[in-house]
Amino acid sequence: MVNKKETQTTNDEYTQIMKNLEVFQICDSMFPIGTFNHSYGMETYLREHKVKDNDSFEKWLITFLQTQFKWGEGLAVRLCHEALMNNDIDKLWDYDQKLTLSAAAFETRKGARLIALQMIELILQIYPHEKSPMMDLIKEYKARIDQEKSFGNPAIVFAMFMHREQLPVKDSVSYYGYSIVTTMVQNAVRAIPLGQKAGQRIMHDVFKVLIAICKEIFTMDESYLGANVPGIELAQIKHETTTFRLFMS
Amino acid sequence: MTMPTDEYDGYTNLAFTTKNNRTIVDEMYYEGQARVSARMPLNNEDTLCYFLIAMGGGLTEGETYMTKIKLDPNSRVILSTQAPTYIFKCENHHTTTQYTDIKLAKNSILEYVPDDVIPYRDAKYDQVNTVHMAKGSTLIYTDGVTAGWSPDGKLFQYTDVHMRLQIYYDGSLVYNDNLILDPQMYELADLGLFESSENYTSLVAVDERIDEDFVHAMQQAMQDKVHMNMGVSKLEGPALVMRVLGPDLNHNKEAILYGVNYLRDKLLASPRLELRKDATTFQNNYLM
Repeated sequence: MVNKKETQTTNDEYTQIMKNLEVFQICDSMFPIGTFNHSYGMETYLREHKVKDNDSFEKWLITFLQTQFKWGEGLAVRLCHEALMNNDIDKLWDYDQKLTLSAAAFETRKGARLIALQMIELILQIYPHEKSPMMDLIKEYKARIDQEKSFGNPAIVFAMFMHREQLPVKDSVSYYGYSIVTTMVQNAVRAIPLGQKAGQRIMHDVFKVLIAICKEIFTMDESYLGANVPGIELAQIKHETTTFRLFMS
Repeated sequence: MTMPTDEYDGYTNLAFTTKNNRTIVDEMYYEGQARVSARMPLNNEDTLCYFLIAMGGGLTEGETYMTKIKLDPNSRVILSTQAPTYIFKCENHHTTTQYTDIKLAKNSILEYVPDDVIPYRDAKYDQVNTVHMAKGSTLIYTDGVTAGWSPDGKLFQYTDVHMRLQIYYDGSLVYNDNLILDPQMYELADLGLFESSENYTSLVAVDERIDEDFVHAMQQAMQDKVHMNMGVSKLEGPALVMRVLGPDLNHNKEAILYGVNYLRDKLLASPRLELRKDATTFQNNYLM
């Protein structure tokens, strides 16, 4: 006869595993929210033959993560997840505004909005019957974006979802970074092109950088939100006038 | 940030108004290391123009400067500097800070076109510029920073540079520019940062008539003429940004002035901007 206590433990474990699976799903580069349409300015360097192989792609990716990602969406995931834990919802809308208005490139803002909306739509389709404060908040964010009260950024939707899963903030920031890295590597494999195995090796190399960045994100205050460096941003601006394009941004 | 004016190392307060349809100085006050030039006569227009001056040829370690600029309805002014802003070495790790607060009333026009910032080896510099614009006012704003100056000629020897610009239009934030240059952490010459360029210059324009079509036309016009690492994009609100990564002060200035002059032509029906910054002009106009 099966020990009842043991069954309970097993069920708890599977509840946790189920949560993990849900997190894997949203972090997967195959999660169809349109990130595969966005190169975050990488395509400009591709056209200029500055990103052309494994090494130059890895270099670009690391610089992107250490600058725009770290001060931008990376920091936003942390700040938003913390605001959610403190039930300080107005802060989310402030961060949405500050983060969006820090991006000089039109396509970067437009891309973030599109991805955020697609992420919300998909979450609502996957969890159609769920009634929870977090689902209400995700719906509220969508309404705000539709009514142009908020701009929309996937980092903020992601923080809401991770809060629903009751994950620690550190996990949220790292997993969001993971989802960006896997998407960018898949984009590079297609566009440069790189070999699939080379892509996986680069991804693994970049994890070490990502962890260091996540640690740094926890030492910064919100005055850094949206900070940038010249080249990364200029490449995103120039993408608008690039004639032959594989990506929307 | 508010503190008594004499606690700043340099404090400037400039206010402009109109009388009989002409812009006049309403207030001009400076103390500490800050000065304002006499009115600078321009060759091909009679727009009011002044140069902001830091005595001693640059900003020394730990100094804090505050410049307040206010334009009443319908006034129009050009403000520049007489030379690049040199940020001297900060060997004791005290940051040198410059604040600029700009308020533009309805239908006023400000062209704020200072020379670039040149941070010396070991310089630590914070620039915090805030602009509040009433609906219907116009701003043409430039700023730039170089790879710095060092006695051995090496680039990016400064400690860190942080330049922020916040623009509010009709009560809403439209742009929150936040540039961090940290040679301790990054190879600034690399891809994604200065990309082997030595000068980074930015132009921001805000005017009710700036929309997507305006931006597309300007993108085309700039691409046809400015063959540098350069781009133009639309900001939120009626605003745009032009960015240039170029080899040196002269090339960048030429490129950014091409953008400024395009905007002057399309938005202000004004001629090419000709600020006379040769040494003679300066000496003749500087001492009051």
